[in-house]
Amino acid sequence: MRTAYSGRAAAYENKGDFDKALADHKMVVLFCALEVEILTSLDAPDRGEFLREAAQAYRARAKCLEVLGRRETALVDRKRADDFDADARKVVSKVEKAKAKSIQLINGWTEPVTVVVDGTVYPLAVGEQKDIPASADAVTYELRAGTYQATGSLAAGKSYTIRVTTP
Amino acid sequence: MLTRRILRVTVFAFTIGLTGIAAATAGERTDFPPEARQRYEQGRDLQKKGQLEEAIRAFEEAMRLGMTEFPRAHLYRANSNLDLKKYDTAIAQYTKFIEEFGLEKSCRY
Repeated sequence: MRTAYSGRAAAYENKGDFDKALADHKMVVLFCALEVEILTSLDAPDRGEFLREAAQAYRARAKCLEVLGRRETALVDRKRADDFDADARKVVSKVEKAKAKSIQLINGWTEPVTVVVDGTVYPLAVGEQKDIPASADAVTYELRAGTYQATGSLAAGKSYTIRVTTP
Repeated sequence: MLTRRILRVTVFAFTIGLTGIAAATAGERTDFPPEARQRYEQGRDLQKKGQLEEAIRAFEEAMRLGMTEFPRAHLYRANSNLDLKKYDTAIAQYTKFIEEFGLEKSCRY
């Protein structure tokens, strides 16, 4: 993503003014590093994108540092960027695994319903949305809506909206 | 004749879609005049198609129509100038953005 600072840094680089470009890269890196530190301390599950952006910011600064002949500092930035990318992959993988092991249920009917999955009863109020754990890739369910019942199977990692229709 | 009405309980499945991509960031003003918003959206489309001069005109018109306080219109105009290799213009516009909208927006948008 191109921000005001990273855009101006790119413009300065194209004009050959690498000192000014470096000053702007430093602002982007500082902000990204702060943001990542806060999100990591909060263990925010959606911080993968921010980690990738931070990696990009460090790489952009490394490139500028290399042009300025500061190769050792550039190497440190590149190493940091690789670490952020590795962290991003771990975070994304963790989130995807968690998603794959759960099923999202949404009560789209006009009355409360109950869904039984793996022997556990999940009451759902009107419009309520609930993430429930899935013990396997597909689990059987029993849906109780008023006096009516239905059974079937649900796939892990999917979202289901419960609706009642009259033929 | 007795008619029976059978309620069918059905479960429709759909995969989880991405929902986090919002058009506006939290705290960002969104109550702009519709004509300004429309021109801004046209600018985005033109920019994506690589019609950068037209995109710049659309962003500037969106600002004239009431979106001067919308950071993205300024940023995307500067980005278009950068892509057009108009570096001095882009630098001037980025600098104005940084001065007007501050550090956080200058690093985040």
